[in-house]
Amino acid sequence: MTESRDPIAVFDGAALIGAIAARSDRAAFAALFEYYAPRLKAYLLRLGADSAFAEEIAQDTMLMVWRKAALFDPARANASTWIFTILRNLRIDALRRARLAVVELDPTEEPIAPPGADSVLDAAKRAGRLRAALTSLPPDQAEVIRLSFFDDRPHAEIERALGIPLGTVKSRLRLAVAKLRSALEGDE
Amino acid sequence: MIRHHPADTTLVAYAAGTLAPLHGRVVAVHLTQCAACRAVMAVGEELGGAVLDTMAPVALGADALAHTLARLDLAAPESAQETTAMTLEALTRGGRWRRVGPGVRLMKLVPRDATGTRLDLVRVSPGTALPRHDHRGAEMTCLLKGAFADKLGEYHMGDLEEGDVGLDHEPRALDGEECICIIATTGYLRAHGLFTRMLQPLFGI
Repeated sequence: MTESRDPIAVFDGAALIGAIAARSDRAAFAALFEYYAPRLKAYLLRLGADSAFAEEIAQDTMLMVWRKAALFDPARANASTWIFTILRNLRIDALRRARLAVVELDPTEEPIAPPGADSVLDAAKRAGRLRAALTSLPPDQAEVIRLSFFDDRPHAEIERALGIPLGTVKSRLRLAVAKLRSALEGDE
Repeated sequence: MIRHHPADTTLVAYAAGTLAPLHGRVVAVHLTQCAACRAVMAVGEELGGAVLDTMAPVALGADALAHTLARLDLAAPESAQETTAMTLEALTRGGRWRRVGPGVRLMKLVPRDATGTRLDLVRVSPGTALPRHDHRGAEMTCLLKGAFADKLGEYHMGDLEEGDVGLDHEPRALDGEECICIIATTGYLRAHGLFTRMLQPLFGI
């Protein structure tokens, strides 16, 4: 087991979130904002949000990061995963309000702890491995994953987007998830 | 022992936040009972983190950081963080069962939303079958009590059935115990035969 197995460097937001939690560190927040806010906005735009909505939700997400910093557990989740789940929940909530539909907020308040992630090192290692494994997926499997994140539609419609049967969409994604999981659980 | 799970596609879409929210509610009920699916869900959320890291940054307005910094010291709004109902007891609290046919009762949880999806509890007496019907949209069902069977298999506590567009089935509660399910339905169902009228409230047709 060597660190070189995790070739893709990941921005280390965990330390910055820790500094916010420990001493309301505004410089740490600014650094975190500089990295994440433009990516949050880019992701929202990719999902079809207009610029004003993307900008608003990106800022609200960062504000929530500030408020919830003490709840962040670096052994449970990588910083990007944690921030992603905050973004996801805020976005669902905002869309619900916009639609005036009485749908309750996504119940998953915190990221689900991956099994076996019991130290900060494990969480960081998982993040590196996941990214490495993602880049080695066959393009058809990577595409199905991308569509899961970039297409805000019921999953059955992915088949229409790709022009392949739903069964094929499901089996590709199952293969991809199996590969990612085995990469994550490698050399325990 | 849970035998029927959501597809990985569904779990990843739920983790991504791109699954229709009411279908997500049904998946959430299943997740409270299924460690295997929670593990897939965790991978999905980690994928979300990875997706975020790989986005090409798009600059915010020039004053975005200053604007956000200025909001840091504002008191957080009173969080009305109601916990989402997951158990049969919590889901039925304050609701009303409505008889929609012999041996079949319905409790509306969420009326049809902008995506054409509604969320209901359905309660079926032991041995009672719903009239055969097919689906114009996706349907997701999770068992809260009892068991039912249709041509896709037999479903018990915690099992989740995904009915895709075109599913044509005639679910029947097994003998012995009443069967209660939480069901998210997108689009309209089409009943076959004489029972159409009886189940109008259930099918919304």
